[in-house]
Amino acid sequence: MADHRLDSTFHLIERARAGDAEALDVLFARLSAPLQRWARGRLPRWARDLAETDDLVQDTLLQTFKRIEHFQPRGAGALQAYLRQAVLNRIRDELRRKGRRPEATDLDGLEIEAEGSPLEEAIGHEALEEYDAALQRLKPEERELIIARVELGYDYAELAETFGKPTPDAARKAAQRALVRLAEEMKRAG
Amino acid sequence: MQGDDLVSDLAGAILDGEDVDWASADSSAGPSERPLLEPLRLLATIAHVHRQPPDPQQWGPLRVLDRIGRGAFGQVYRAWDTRLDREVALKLLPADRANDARGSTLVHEGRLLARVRHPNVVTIYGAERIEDRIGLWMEFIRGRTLEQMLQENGPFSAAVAVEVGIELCRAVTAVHAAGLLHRDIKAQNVMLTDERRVVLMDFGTGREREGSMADGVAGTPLYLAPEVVGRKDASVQSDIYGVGVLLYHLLTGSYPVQARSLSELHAAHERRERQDIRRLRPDLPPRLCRIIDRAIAPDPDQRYETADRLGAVLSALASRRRVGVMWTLAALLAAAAVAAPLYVDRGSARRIATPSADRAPSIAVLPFRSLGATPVEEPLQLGMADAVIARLSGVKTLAVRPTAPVTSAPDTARDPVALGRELHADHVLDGTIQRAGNRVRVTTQLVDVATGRTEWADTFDESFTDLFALQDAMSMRVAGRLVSALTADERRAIEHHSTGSLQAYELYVRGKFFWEKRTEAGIRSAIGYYQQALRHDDRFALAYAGLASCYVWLANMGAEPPQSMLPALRAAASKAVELDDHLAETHTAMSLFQSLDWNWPAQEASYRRAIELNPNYPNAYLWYGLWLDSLGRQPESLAMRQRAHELDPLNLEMNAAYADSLFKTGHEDEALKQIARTLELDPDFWDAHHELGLFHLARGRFGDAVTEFEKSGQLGSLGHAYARAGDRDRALGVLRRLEAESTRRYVTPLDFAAIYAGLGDADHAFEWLEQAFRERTTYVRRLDVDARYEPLRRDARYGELLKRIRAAYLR
Repeated sequence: MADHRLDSTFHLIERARAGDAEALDVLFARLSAPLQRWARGRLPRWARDLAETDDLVQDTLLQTFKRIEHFQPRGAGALQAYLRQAVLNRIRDELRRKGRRPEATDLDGLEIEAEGSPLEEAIGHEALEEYDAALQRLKPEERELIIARVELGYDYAELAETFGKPTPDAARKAAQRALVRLAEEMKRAG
Repeated sequence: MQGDDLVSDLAGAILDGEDVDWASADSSAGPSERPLLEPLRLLATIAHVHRQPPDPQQWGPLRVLDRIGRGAFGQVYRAWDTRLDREVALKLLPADRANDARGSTLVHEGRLLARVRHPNVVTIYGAERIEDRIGLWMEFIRGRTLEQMLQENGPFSAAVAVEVGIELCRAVTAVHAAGLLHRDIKAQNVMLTDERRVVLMDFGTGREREGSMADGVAGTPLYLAPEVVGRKDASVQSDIYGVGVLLYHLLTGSYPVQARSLSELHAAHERRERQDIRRLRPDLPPRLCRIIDRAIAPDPDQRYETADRLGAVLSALASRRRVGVMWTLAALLAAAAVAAPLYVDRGSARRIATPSADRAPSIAVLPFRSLGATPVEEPLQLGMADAVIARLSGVKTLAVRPTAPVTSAPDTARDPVALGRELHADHVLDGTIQRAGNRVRVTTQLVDVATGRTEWADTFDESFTDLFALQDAMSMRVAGRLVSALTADERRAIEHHSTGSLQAYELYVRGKFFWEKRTEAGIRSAIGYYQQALRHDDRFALAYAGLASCYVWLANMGAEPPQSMLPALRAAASKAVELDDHLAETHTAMSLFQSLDWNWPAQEASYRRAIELNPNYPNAYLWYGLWLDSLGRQPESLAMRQRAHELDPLNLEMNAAYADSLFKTGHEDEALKQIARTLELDPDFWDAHHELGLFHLARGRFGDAVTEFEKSGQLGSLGHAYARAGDRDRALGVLRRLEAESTRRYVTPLDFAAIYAGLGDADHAFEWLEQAFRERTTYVRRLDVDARYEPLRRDARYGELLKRIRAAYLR
């Protein structure tokens, strides 16, 4: 049996869709760590224990992989973007279910609205919505590049591999163009 | 970065995770590029946040408890120093700053700052790089920032601003004497503590200065001296400029130089623009205006030479009218405390212990006396009073005393004025209730305790099924009598009914009646009534809250294994809060669940929420005080239990708990008097005897301890005291008896531990303590404040166990 660890993510998806269980395992391991880290940034601290972020991510991955044979990705970046959205939806459900927010406190004299996720706290709820909305208006590849680089922290080599770019530098340039496009979208909305 | 590539370059820098110099981007951007800067800045922040690791649970020796703020600096947490067993504030630099030069500078500066020991400067305990993150930890300050006080109370008076300025100059002088600059003096960085100490916080770094500029709204750049905006080195004079701007700001709410962007600010400084403070505050003493003018002079050489000098000229101005100013300051703080008691900090016990309840008129509602041929049952008499109390509690400007204390007063011969005095109430509502068939007649009179005069009297006739309407009408009249104008919220609160079912309400009142007895049998009856109440109305939040109190009592007293109560407790507390989020009772119920669930941070937040919702609800203070005590936070615990006692002065439990705190804070004589008062109320109250026994134990009076423990009926304590008094046989006898009982009922491991500790058998004592810890017995957390474990304290296992207990509780 081939050693899948060095395979490209896209290749792994292809193999997994064809029913290769080992490819699925490797894929699972590869995708879950960055998603878990990402999810922690999107969940408020108070909700993190309850939601058991890691379980939530694992569960979303499992649900997706159960149906992987129906998944028609244009590339590995699309799968990541899809998973991010799926986890985001799960987080929103979780927060809705939990409903209540604890009191906000503050030491520095900085005004903090009710405690949200670290991201919400940093930029505010509205800006976050605006960002998410602008992201949705981009072309799929642009959106996926930004998610992979900015949110999931892929390095340029991984980015090149995932999006089929010839070199890391080419991947960086593509991401750079995507980010400028996103800024333009956000400006349009604002 | 120039020309067409600026936007692309910025995007590249954001993707690479590099720092962006937004100030220079702003100045070199062309008209088509400028509108993109704002979204790009936002994207830079988004990218930056995504690069951050999640909040740590532990950082070096510090256990991170909760996040309390976020600054340009990074995250700020409340933490527990496990080596020194103290609460600290921890600031952690963002992870991606750990390796740049500024991180190293920060560690270096932090260590220098740690040398500054001055009452007006926050004490820095240390600065270190641990696990690739740079952190600074310091004294945890409880208080309010000057900015918050300004926002809430408006501009300061000249006298108060001068006073703050003098203290601040002392702080800055101390910093300068250590060879350091503060670099970030602003109203958000100066706190007035609960002890009325002015404390300079948050030292700036080069990083912060650059990071917060060009942001059109941030206040920070407006405090910067012109030479610093012009990128020259900061100096003693630039800190003095900061003090000057701060004084200007406190007095006017504005800034001497206004600008919307950094380039505007720079230009304004170039033009030497100043908004004259005299125009905004013509009432200020001319001398004060001149002092501020000089402190904020555009040319650094024109400013005061030292902060000490600035302090001296302020002092000269103040000396003539010094008296009374600190009082003003205190009043300001008190006003702020009343306005928003829970805003700044979670840890402040003093703050919430001192709302203006003393100034608010207080009222005691006595149980209604029964008149007429058909005697009305005791629970209904109490219930009528309870209903009025519950409704009046919604009026925040009214301090309502609870009913329970007066239940023991004889019905016929009671004197409302005397009772009012005993309950520390300004007014007493006294009444009778008469039932004839389906009709109820209630007569009431409101009595002024000071004069003994009847202020108002009324009669209400209703059909029994309209009891709630009757209670509404009566409460509304009483409130209208005592409070000049009820707000819409207060009216709503009065008309709010916790249940629509009369049967449910009656059963609830019966449950409460038995709960107040605080005996195991009483608690078990209360559970039965609450459960019946819920069968009539399964959305009755107070009944769920009542159930939760009973469950936790059984667990704490060792009547049931604590963990066995947890599921029912969790269900009752969650349901209570879910059904009514606005009641102190439901949040207190939640805190009780969190107590049994060993979750101190959540528990503390729930108590604070309860107290915020109803500052006159004594049980929240009582329980909160108990757990502060177990954490060794004795002064805060005393404040809480004193407040509980003030609110419910005839309640046995509040009395005994208050005595406990008095004893532990070194007020031994008062503690003994307090116990004597408790026993006057009820000579058989077991807990008062138990507390008194513990006092004797702590003072080595073992024989006296035996006497009290015999009266309390607490076998673990009794066996312990026998052993300490040298009566081994009796001690072993109690041990056997408990062992035998443990085959029939649950016996808390703490009882065995106490006896073995008394016998000097440390091995067995620790075995049982470990068992108690494994079972998550709540009172094992009181190990360190319970005299029965004194003989174990020199054992190495003791400190180790205590540490594990604290760690589990504080999370």
